[in-house]
Amino acid sequence: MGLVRLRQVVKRYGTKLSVDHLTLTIEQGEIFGLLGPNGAGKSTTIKMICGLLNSDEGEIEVDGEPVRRHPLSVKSKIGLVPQEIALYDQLTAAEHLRFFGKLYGLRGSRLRERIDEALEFTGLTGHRNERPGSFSGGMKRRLNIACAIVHQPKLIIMDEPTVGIDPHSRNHILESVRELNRRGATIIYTSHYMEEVEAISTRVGIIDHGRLIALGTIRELLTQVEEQEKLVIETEGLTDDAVEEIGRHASVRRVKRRDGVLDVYLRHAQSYLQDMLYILAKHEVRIASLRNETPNLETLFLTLTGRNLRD
Amino acid sequence: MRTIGTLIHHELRRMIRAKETFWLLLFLPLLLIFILGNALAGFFDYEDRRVDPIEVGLVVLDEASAEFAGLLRTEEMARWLDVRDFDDRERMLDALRNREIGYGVVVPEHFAERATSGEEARWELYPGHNADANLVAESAIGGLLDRINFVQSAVIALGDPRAAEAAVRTASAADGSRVNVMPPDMSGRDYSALQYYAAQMLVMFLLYAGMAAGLSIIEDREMRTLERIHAAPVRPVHILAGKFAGDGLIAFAQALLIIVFTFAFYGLDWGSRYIHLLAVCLFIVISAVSLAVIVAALAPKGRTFQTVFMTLIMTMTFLSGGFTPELGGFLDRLGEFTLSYWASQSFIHLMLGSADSIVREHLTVLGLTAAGLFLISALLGRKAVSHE
Repeated sequence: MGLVRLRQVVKRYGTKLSVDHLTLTIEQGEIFGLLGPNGAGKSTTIKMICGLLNSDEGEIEVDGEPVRRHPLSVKSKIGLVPQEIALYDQLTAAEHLRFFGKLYGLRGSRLRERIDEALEFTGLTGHRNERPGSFSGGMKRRLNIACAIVHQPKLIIMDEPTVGIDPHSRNHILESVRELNRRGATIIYTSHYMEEVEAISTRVGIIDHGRLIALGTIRELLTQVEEQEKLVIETEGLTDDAVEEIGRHASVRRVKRRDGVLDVYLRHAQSYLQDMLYILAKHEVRIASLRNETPNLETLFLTLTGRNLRD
Repeated sequence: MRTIGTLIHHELRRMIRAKETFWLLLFLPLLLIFILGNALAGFFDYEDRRVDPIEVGLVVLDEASAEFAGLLRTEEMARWLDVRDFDDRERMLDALRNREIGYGVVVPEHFAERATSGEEARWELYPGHNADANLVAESAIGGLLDRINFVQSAVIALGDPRAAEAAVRTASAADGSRVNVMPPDMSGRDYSALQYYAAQMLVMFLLYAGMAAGLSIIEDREMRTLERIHAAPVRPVHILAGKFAGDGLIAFAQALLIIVFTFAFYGLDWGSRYIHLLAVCLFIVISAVSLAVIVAALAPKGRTFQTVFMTLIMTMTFLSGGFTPELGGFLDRLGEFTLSYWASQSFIHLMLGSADSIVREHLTVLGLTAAGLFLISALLGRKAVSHE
């Protein structure tokens, strides 16, 4: 069942088209990774889903309600973790949660319970009466998340929540995302770190120039580039005959020779590795090193756009 | 309403916890009032700057009003006003422009008719170049007009002029009378340097309190917390109302604290019309916060906002005589177009116990200014609290 539906959504900033006829459905209970380079239209899309921006064309629905017609009701179902750490220097961690909890209509004992839960979930219980000024970058990021989940939203939108933090805090946040999902929340997770998106997403959408250029599970998406698996073989005494024979192998799509280094693009590299080694041995070529490069979302993005994801 | 309450509480907490609030909004004004009030006391010494009777040009366009106009020449008035007759308005205005006289009064046609029929009757008043002289003349003439209007009302009500005069005298003497028919502030009271600068500094720092409201909006915008608030089920008008009311309350509390503190510790006399005093404070606060919202809507960055707003405050304070009381000539005239002028003059008139009509006039101008600025801020408010 679709929790978020976008139909032919368009957003322009002046003459620049930021989101270009985007159609997308995000199912309830999934972790949806929205991937794309900076300026691709990820944040604009998210802001439109949250009701922070109006679309110029098209329709957006959250939990069956059109965002434009029922913005307050839609907003009450969403928790937004903004890209920037949006906290107040003058407020303690607990006061942040009390303030945002009240804005979402929580009061009394329910509010107190939710504050305790959110602090515990983000590992900040021991710092509840401290102000963000004394927090590390990771702790600030966690408080940033706590503010968005205090009202137990159905949909949590995380816009690059791991920018600029240490690996430990990053792992903590990724684990928190999985846990929130296990507890029933649908998550939209944007990042230009494809490793993160690969690690946690059940489905991924890749966006570029405001258009959705790929959509599916990680497995589905990677089948599009499985032919781009690559064996990189450093050799001594490489001969033209050896290169020619490898190129003739049925699984090999392309061979590239750089002095003594051989890049072999092939399907199912592991299955045919033995064959490659046999051919090289037959031509008395010695192998100095060998590695297998499997395609990933970065490869897919490169294939689809001709650019790197982090350009 | 709950959401607005939450936003007001949030704003109050943020402001109170900000270190600069105490220093900028409370300590600094009290310190400046004390320093300026004492350092410049000599400038305000009553003996040194005793106001000689002000030469007032009088044009009577209504023959039936000669008796009323004659009241300007009573012995009591002669202490303050030296009346010179003119045949027509133009000559009188020429003399005023050439500084031959310090103030001008025109008794318009049908004045007597209006006064005796119980309608409110006004004279045309033309201020001159000297702010102090204008203040004294306005006070004396305004009070006289109040008295004329009141006596005429009593005559109409009681039917007999002598009975009316007696009633007026009784009303004047009665304890708790709501109408002051005594001669207007002719007691020789003058304002001290401390009073003058208390009024000026209070106005200036109330404007600064407005600036704090604008800065709070811009800080929210720059820190992206405004976007976060917009992501919650909150209408933009709630955000604006929360900012306005929260910062307005801080500014109002600041005004009351300064008034109470200067009264208790500096012995400053703010007059006895407390409702009027509160109204002046309220109008300044509304104006200041509205102005801050307007500038915040137009200024994209905090630094731009601060520069523009501080320039506005400083210019208005300077032109209204906040740094030096007598600027003279064109600058004095220009000062009359500032919020600070009407605000500080309202305080000073209250301190002096000026006639009701004068205080009312100042309150009206101040109230209309506040209403105008509030209206503009309401129109631009959505842009000010926009997160985009």
